[in-house]
Amino acid sequence: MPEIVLTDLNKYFGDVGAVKDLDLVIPDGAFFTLLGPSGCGKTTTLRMIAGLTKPTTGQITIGGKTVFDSTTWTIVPPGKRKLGMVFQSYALWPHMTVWENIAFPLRIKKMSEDTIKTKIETVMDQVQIRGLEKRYASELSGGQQQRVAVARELVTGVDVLLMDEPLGNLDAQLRIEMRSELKKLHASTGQTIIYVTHDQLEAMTMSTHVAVMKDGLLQQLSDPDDIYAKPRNTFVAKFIGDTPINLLDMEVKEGRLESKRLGIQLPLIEQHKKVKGKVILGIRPECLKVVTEQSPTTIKAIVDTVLPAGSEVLLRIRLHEEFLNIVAPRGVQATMDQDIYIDFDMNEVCIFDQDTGTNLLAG
Amino acid sequence: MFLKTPMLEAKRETSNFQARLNKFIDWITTPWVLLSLFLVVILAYFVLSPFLEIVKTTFTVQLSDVRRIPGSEAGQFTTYYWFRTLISDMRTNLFFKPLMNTLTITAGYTVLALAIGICLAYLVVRTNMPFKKFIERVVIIPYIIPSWPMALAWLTLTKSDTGGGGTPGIIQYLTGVALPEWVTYGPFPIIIILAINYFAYTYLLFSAALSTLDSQLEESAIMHGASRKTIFRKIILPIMFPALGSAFILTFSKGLGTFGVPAFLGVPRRYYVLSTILYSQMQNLRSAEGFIAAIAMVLLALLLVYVNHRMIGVRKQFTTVSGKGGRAELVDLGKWKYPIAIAVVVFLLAASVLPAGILFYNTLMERVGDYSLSNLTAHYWIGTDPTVREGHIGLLVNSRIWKAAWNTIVLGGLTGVLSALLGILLGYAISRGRGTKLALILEQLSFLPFLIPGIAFGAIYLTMSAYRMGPLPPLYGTFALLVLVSTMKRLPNATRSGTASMMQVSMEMEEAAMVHGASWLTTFRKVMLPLTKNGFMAGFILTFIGTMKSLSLIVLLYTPSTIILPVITFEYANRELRQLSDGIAVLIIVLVLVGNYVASKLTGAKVSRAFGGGE
Repeated sequence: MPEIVLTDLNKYFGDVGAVKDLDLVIPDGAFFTLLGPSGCGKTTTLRMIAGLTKPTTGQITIGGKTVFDSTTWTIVPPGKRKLGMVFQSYALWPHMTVWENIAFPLRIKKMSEDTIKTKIETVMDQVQIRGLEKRYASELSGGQQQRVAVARELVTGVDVLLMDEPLGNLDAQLRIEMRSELKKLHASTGQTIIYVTHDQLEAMTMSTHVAVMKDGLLQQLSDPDDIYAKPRNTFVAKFIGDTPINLLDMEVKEGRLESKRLGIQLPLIEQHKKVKGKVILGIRPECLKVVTEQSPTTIKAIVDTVLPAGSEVLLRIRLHEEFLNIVAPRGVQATMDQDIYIDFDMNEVCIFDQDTGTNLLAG
Repeated sequence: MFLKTPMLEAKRETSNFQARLNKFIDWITTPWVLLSLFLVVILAYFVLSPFLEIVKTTFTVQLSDVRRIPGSEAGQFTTYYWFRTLISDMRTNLFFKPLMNTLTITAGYTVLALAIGICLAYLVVRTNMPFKKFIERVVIIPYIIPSWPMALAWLTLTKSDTGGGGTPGIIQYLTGVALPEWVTYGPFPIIIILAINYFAYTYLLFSAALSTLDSQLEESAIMHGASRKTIFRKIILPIMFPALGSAFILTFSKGLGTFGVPAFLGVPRRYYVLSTILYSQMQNLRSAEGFIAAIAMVLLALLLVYVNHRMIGVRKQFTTVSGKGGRAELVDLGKWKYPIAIAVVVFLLAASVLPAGILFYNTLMERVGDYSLSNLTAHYWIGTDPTVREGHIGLLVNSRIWKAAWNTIVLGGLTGVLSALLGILLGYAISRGRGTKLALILEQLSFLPFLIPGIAFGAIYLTMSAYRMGPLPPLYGTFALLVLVSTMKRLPNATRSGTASMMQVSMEMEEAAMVHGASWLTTFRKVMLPLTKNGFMAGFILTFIGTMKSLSLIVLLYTPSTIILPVITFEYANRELRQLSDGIAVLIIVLVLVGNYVASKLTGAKVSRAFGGGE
């Protein structure tokens, strides 16, 4: 069973580094997501695994077999890597019907028409597109096209499925639906899925592993929980999360966090004792609580705006010239320009170095 | 643990020899690279080397000129030809006068064609002029039918029996007024005919741009109280300027080497342009001097492309034109609505139906110049009696004509298939290699034939085909030569449409097949080719039609067994056998129109969508 290992992988387009010094181990059976903003190198990485883009230097092995090695310039062509790939545009061949599209990889492998028929029927049942056999890609909805594209890759029974922003072209409703379908698919086939997206929510909801990238460099590789709760640096902290994390410039003095500018002081708990100097305090919006009584971990601020969002209420509060976001439960009492007490859950905070942005609490 | 500092030193190159070798092999076996290299060789061989060959010829003593150049031997280096053409007392007649005439004519018809094209485009797209459907359908015809039959029709229409002598034309016959000679021969009629032939080109470019122009740009000007005239002058024209500039340059360079019209309307009164002087030099076995005219034409075209590139930039063409935005309200022409529409219709009919009508009428005359009904005869179409009319039998019963017609169709068909195929391959190589030097070389090489006027291209191949061309035997006198030269000449158009259609096929289409292990050939056959089918067909039609009406390219190369219709017309016209020459011209017009109709019905591709074509 294939474990995919990237060693010291680099890709330069001219002088521009798209992927730099990348080391990754993609375990067998993982739902592995490459996450990052556009231009971070995630798609390039995926394409290098697929063999569609040739790395500048480095090695790639799939299931122990070297498929790329720059020191000997060994290259295994994409078709021999036993991977499937779902493209962002789905790349359904518009001159072929759904059936012909799915049959293509099987015909390349010169399978008998009987085998082809059984295989296609099985896979079409699996992704629920029976009845669309004779349609052309242009006659399908976005969701159907996506299913066909997946079916075309599943039909050969590959162990690894690569997906390049497969949900990017779908509307919001369908995207949510497809997320759980893909997750179910992963559970039922046990395939390794390598998934590229810029949508942090997609990454969080589906993956077993998330690799966050920025400017061609790997920022953090971990499971979704860890990435959310223990971002390795301020970039990851800001990139992950629906409502942005709150970041405040503070200084550690006499065992306390303080900001003269904002006029606040917060106690440091036992785990934070080794932190020193100028830091950035990070706290997720839902870890700020609206309270009525003051305590050492409370600050006083002014409500700037109240944005009810159905299941919860988004509060934007003003602390001198800074703003904080709070996700409060439904029914919270707050009106604009009113004074409000906010409690910081110090067990949930992150503390970053002000110069490097790295998380000082993470091992 | 996972974080690393960025690698600051330059990318680490693969160092050892074996790896480098593997890397090179990997590169060179990439399908588009391999294909590009192959095509570069082909193009260098059939396009670049001929051009270098003619440059060399102009500096080499020709066997036939040994006696003209005292003390010389054939094959020696000489500046005699250049001296004689550019410096000696002959320079005015041999070079500078034809050059000036060429410039006058091209500038003249370009300006006229642009003016007509812009006006028509504006009327059709932006006003409430009636009969638009009809006008849109007819407007392309003058562009599809070849220009030189129009020249023949013009002669019939305007000739007079005074001055240069000869038979009276239709106008003189009907009104008794003998038009002055400058109306019949020389720059004036040449400019008119070529303008009529090329205005559709501007029309297509300009109306496409105009109809996608964001109406909000105009509407905001209206809100500020600008008049229609001001809007046209200050908003529309400036925005359209890049498109206009391209139309200007393209129209200009298309007619630069035009041969048929100046041959019919200029040469009889010794009004020469570069293309006709080239032809007459070749006829007088002074090929080296002819080639100097060819080089001048190439340089002129090169200059134009350079100017176009520097000043306008092909790529900026439609950047200001947004695809969205509703249609602006149509301009109301008021009481002028019908007069303008009628004038336009009359003009278009005069430019398309009238020439064919005149030519056809001419073929029915027993004696040229007598337009009365009693003079009519069908002899020149179906007459079989070889004892009358100096032994000329009717066109439709003449086996030589049938053979030529067949040759013409075969030539068009073969050239169409070959150049469309080459165009798709070139398009693939260029679009896949985009940004690399190799693709750039390929793109420029394939553009080169555009710079070499047809007559010059023919002249080059005339000399080349006398010898072995590498693996090819001497091709002179073979039909293959005509196919080869036509294919190469059409390559720029074919490449452009091939590249355009390849660019539209997303790379992912191909990669999706590669991921499944499909070989390149399978991928190309099963995926790329079917997806670019429309581009292929459009390229085929354009070439098919363009080749069938092309005179200049073949006029130096044909032999009795490889004769094609346009050349026969030229022969007959030179022998003043107007019924026969005009009859064949009518046949060609019919062939071209039917070909266009059938092809567009069969494929759904529209010629008007993909400009190009030839004289």
